[in-house]
Amino acid sequence: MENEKKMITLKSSDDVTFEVEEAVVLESQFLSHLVQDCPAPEHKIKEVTGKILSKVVEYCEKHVVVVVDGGDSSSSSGDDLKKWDDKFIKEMDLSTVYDLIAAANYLNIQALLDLMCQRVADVITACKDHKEIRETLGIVSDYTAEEEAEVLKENEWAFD
Amino acid sequence: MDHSGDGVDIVSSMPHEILHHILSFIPTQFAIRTSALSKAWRHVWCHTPCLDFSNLSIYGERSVRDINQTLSFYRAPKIMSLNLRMPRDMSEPQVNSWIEFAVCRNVEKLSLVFDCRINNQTYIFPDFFYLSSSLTELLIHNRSTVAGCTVFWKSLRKLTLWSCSLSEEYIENILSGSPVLETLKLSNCIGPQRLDLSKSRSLRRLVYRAGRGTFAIVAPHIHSLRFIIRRCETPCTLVDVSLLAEASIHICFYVRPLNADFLQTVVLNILAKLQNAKRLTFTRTTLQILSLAELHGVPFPTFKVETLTVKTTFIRSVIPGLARLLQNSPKIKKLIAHATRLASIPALQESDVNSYLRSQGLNQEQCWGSKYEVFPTAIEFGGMIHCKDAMWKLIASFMEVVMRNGKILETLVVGLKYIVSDARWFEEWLQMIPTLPNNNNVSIVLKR
Repeated sequence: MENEKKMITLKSSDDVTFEVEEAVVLESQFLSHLVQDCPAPEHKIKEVTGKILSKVVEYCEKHVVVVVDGGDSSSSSGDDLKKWDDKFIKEMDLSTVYDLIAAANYLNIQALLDLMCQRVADVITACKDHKEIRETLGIVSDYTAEEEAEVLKENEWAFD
Repeated sequence: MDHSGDGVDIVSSMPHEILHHILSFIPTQFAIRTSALSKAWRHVWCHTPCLDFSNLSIYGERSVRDINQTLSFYRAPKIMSLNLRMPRDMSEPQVNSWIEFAVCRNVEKLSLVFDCRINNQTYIFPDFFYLSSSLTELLIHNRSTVAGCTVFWKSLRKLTLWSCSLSEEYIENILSGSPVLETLKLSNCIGPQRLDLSKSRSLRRLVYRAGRGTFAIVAPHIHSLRFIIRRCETPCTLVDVSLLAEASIHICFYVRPLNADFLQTVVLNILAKLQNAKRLTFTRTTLQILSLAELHGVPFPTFKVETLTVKTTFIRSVIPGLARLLQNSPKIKKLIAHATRLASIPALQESDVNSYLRSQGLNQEQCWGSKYEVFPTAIEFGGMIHCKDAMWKLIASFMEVVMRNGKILETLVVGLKYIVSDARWFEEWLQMIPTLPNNNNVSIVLKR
């Protein structure tokens, strides 16, 4: 017999609410502590906007389902999950990625944090040199020409 | 890639732990490049707890100096992971100093890849290497290891040895000095003759990709085995795997001419040891060998398997073996079948099966034609793959055979990602599922 699933409501900083199963919340270390310590039906998460929280919920819901269902076919469900993750980040712009990094860090969802950091890492690796990284990430250099030359010389091999 | 919303530098103001985490996903060479971005980034990389020099060996002579220079700027007190692919100009003291660098910083995951010999000498790891208390995961690629050392890796949970020469004594030393070792992966190693893991109480998972010179595996405590057989000249036998709950057997060697009698002996010996496992995975060659064994009336073991996974092409020569496997699995609840194309797994060739049958005065038509005529030979399969209706008929026939032979099956999952790329086919087939004869109410899942 299936037990009735316990539902929890999460409210974003801009008052968007999400009703999720308790298992989804447990993906986040932060939220599982919160839920345990304070068994209110609704939890306000002041640090995360509705737009980002919806992504977080989407990610956690997907990962919960697969873990529960996975058990005996780990390799194939692992593949499926990876495919889903790829699709999840593929069309995401960098500012959403940054927001999700902050949210995953705050809510302590390690797998989501890894996925998002990996995405930024891939962007950096895809650049042919540091100038392209600057351009892509919108970083403005505050080095003088001499300082920059010194940095480049220090680990010359890495800039080939 | 959509970069809208970029142009604002948010990343530079992120906490350093996050930046380190980002950089831990990239080879150190690229991480160092970020030091030139701006002053804020100047020293970020040198506190990243992960170092990855796996892409260096192409630089040949320069790279020893590069690694040394990099390490001289490195400031993190703790290394989570070091991935070191030895450059061609390495020397023994040099390698020792890098290992010492890592061990002194309490490295947890260490990967040491030797592509070449040091001055044609056998490299011997320094004694302190074997006493690292922080190591949790270790990979050594391509090194002759030497016995007789004292090992105490008190935190080591996962050990991977790739193309290493191993003696029984060395394995024993490692097992007795690694009290929490859970996973052992041996890939393409030479020896030991008898792989005896009975001394380790903690070891749960063995991945054994056949190398050379091992004839017997004794692993009475492991729960999970992945066994990859690529040669048949060394018939490695499972002596004791009595606690096995899960096993995955991949036979992917291919030797001409096919010695099917010999292969049958090897396969049936392995299967006899898997009778208690609850989860089993087989690939095409195993099923084909079982089909041939079935023709001979060889006695089959009975399995306690509950979930069976097969990765196979749906061709005629695999079906009798699968049917027999299902008949001999009275507890089976779930079958997961990943349909493959002919080339995706190195396996027996159709011509091998045919020539073997010919040598017995038989042919496929005569043996399996009447019972399994809907299933194509490999050549016929090649012609069907682009025809939607023929493929559906094949998939439906496969499911029908499975349900007929697996009487108490509850769930049947058929994975089609390797053979179907057209989403419309898949959608259409999903609609067809309810039209299949399904007397036992098996829950059928099609997956892309």
